[in-house]
Amino acid sequence: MSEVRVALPTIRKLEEIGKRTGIFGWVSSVDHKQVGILYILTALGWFCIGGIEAALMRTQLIVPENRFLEPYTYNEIFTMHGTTMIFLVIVPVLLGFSVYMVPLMIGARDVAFPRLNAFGYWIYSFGALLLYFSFFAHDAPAAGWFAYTPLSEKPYSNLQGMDFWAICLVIIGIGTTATALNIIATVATLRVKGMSIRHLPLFVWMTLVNSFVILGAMPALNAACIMLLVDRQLYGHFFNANGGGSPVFYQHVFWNFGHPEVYLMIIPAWGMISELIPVFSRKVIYGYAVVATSTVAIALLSFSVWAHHMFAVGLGHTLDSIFAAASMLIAVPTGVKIFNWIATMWGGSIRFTTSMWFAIGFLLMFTIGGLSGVTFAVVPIDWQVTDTYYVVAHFHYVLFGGTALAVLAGAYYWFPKITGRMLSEPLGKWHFWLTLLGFNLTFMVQHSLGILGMPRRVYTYPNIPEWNELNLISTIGTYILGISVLIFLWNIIYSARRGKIAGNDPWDGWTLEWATTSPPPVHNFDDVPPVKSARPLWDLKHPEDPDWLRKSKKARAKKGR
Amino acid sequence: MALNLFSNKSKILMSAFVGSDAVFFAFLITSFVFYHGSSKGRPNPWRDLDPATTGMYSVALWASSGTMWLSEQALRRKNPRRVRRWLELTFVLGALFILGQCLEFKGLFSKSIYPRTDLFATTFFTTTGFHGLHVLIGLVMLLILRGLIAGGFGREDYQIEGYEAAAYYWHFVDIVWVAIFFILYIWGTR
Amino acid sequence: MTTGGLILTGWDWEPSVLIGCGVLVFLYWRLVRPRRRREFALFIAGDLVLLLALVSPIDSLADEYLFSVHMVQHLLLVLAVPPLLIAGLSREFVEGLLRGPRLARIEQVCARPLLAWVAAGAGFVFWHTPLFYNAALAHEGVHIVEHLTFLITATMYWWPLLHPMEESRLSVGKAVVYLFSASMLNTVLGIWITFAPLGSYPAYIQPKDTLGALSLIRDAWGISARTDQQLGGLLMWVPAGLVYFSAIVAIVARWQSEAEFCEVIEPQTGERNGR
Repeated sequence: MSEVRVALPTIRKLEEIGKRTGIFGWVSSVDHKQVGILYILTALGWFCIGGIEAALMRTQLIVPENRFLEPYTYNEIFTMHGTTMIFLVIVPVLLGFSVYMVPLMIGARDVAFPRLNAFGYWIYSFGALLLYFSFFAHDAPAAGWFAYTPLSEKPYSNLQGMDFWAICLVIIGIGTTATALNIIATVATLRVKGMSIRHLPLFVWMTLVNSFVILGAMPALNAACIMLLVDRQLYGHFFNANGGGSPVFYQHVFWNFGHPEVYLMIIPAWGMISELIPVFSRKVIYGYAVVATSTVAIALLSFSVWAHHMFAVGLGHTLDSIFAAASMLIAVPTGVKIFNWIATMWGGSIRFTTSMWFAIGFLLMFTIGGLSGVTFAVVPIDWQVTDTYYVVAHFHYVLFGGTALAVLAGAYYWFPKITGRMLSEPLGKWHFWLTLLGFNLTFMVQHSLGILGMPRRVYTYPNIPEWNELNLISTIGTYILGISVLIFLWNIIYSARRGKIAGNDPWDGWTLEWATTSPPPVHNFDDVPPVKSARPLWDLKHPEDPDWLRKSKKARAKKGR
Repeated sequence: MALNLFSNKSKILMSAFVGSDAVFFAFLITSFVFYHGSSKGRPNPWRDLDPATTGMYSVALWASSGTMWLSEQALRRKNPRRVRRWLELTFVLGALFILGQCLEFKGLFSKSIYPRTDLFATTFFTTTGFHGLHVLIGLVMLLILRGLIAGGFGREDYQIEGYEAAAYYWHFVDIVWVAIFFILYIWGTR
Repeated sequence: MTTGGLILTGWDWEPSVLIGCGVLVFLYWRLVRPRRRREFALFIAGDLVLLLALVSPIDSLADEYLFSVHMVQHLLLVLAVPPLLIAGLSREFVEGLLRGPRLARIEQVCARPLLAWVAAGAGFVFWHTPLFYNAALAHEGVHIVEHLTFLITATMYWWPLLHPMEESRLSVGKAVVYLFSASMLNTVLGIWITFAPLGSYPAYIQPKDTLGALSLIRDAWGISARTDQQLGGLLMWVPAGLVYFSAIVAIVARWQSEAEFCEVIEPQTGERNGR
């Protein structure tokens, strides 16, 4: 086998990774690495803002009958918290990692359409700023992050907050769609020779499948927002019962977006986990084919279960039952993946890096969130706990305990590649344990609060002893989370300048991004190693036992030769 | 009939985009169908539509797809003058369609029929309005293509692929109009 | 009339159906000469499902009483019977068939995926338009044509996916698009039927009740005409959609695990593959 020249480790400064240096260099960049970093850092910034909003909410709820926030302000805060976290933090950070890592993992020089890539980022940033401008325009959106009609219509939301919401979501959605298109084109056309679609790293596969989900889901959001705007600005009757319209129709259109959206927010996270658990268990992923196929199943099914958000709306038992069955079904391919990841760890030689800790945390927290989600598929249970804190607990377990922990795991895994320096492990461990503690304190008790009857989206609650204690615990948990975030921020700022030099391949990884310098040069690779399996670097480092030989031996044995 | 939809990155991008946009129009058309008959106010609100006249302008739009296809053929045969001619004709036909839409809207406004008038009008204006917006964007795209051709674009293979990918958008806008015309103007006015 | 009574007495032993199913098995046994037990079992299963769909109480309820049961019958005819029958054909039989030039020509024309998709889709839409659906309920001859159309176009549809000669099957990408687009058709029509007001299929609103089962259905089972139509639409939309989705997942799963039979590719030295 010919010698492959892997670039020698050099220390490249993060500021100099682009073609031009300085602010102008970053603003005008179309390099996928710089665009990716912009996405991630911007999302991190909005995460802090969203976190402050959460802290404000929880402070208002620390004791009953509190007047820390006025009712309408509280409504604005919870609406903006949800909208921010979903549209300004989670989706962009996942897009950011996709845009940074996918070209590297497939051995490409950049994405298929670099300018479109940059456009996607800047339009997201613009939409985000415009959305927050609503605070300065004296009316932020206040009808909840899904803006049900008729509350979001006039005269119930008479000021301009909801218009900001609808317009900005369309704008940001354009960026998301553009990036999804770009990823599809990139994976379809720029894979290095030898990387067949079946040899894609799972992160790339999941991102690819996710891009199709984006293309199917965003149009529904656009439709819902546009219909809302027509009703509000042109006095249309889409959702106005007096004019013959139907507020329930809004829910149908919105949740046709909303449900695939939640899968949108977790699938790339699953991809990250599928990359780093094998590396930190020193064991190949168990059941690549199963993980890949179940992702396709979930992507398809995600479009057939939206009405489970509407069980309490009165669609009729027949409709409810069918959607309940489909919703239970979708839990299966999801659960299958958990088993695959655990099986990967089983018998492996686990390295308990901070990244791995976050991944383990993900497995536990996401499972809890998934279980509480399945309970909602039982319609009578849903009737009891919908719109209570049980729902809030559920989605925070899947989105924070799931996606956020996975993204943090990915951050610790890929920070060395992106910046050339390692994040501090001791600080990382503090970050992890405080996060786990704070998160569970905040949200575990909310399951009970929900079952005890506390509704969500209320600015205060009466003096009920059981509620008082649980709310207090929940708020304290939030403050602990805040401290953990500060530790993380400090870790990033410190390590980017003074962290240990990482070198090309600090984790002894197996995918192509580790075959170049940290950070990679503008052109990504000097030489791409040969690709014959899903783990090209394993094959390179273990020429006596490469994946492709093992597989074809297995295949020959199967055929009985 | 092998459709070369996936032979190059521009075509993949445009095909995927068109698929996504089709879902958007599906929602708008669904709202029209769902609400057909629920409109309060005017009895038989569809009587104010004029399928015959709109049909004429629709023929212009559909013909423009044909002329666009001819310009693609000419580009493959490396005949820039023909390309320019068919492209310009496409633009004119598309602009004619927009003119027809504007006249139609103007006529409805003069009868005091606005999106606010009733639910039929709301769904009608939203669906046809967004389609018209897509046609306008398409016209801008045609102008850009025309400018590029004038600058000598179209000699390389990948440029031809890109041109054809752009044409996909135009054909898509036409196909959507087939659905809109038949559902809103034919089915919707019976 | 009780549920048990309906199950026992509600059979319609239509001679043409019995003969047809019997002939099918006979022809299969004589012409295909199945050697593998699995194929034989699948074909027989397909034939049994066909029989059941057309003579069991499903048929009696479908013809007169319940739109939703008629939907179940059609779904069996379209999504269960053809795949099972095709899976029962042995590779050798099909290879032999296709050696004959005329049959090969027919297969080439009819089995083109685009044509098969359009034929199945057109048949589907055609027979659900109220005019023709109600005509089939009113006239037995039209009903037979309806069922035959479904069976034939569905077999055309499944052929490119389940072709006994694996190399002639659709590639994975095309198969996914083929199946997904068909499921969209099901979804659109299913949603329309679920949410549409009553009246498109009037025969089910006031059934003729020749079996005396109406009170059983309306009172004991509690299925009103409204629920019946909703259920019918939902069955067309969700469970049928799941069949398409399952087919997609099965094809993707197979394709993914085939990677085990690894293509050994010569090592490259980092050529970029930009098109």
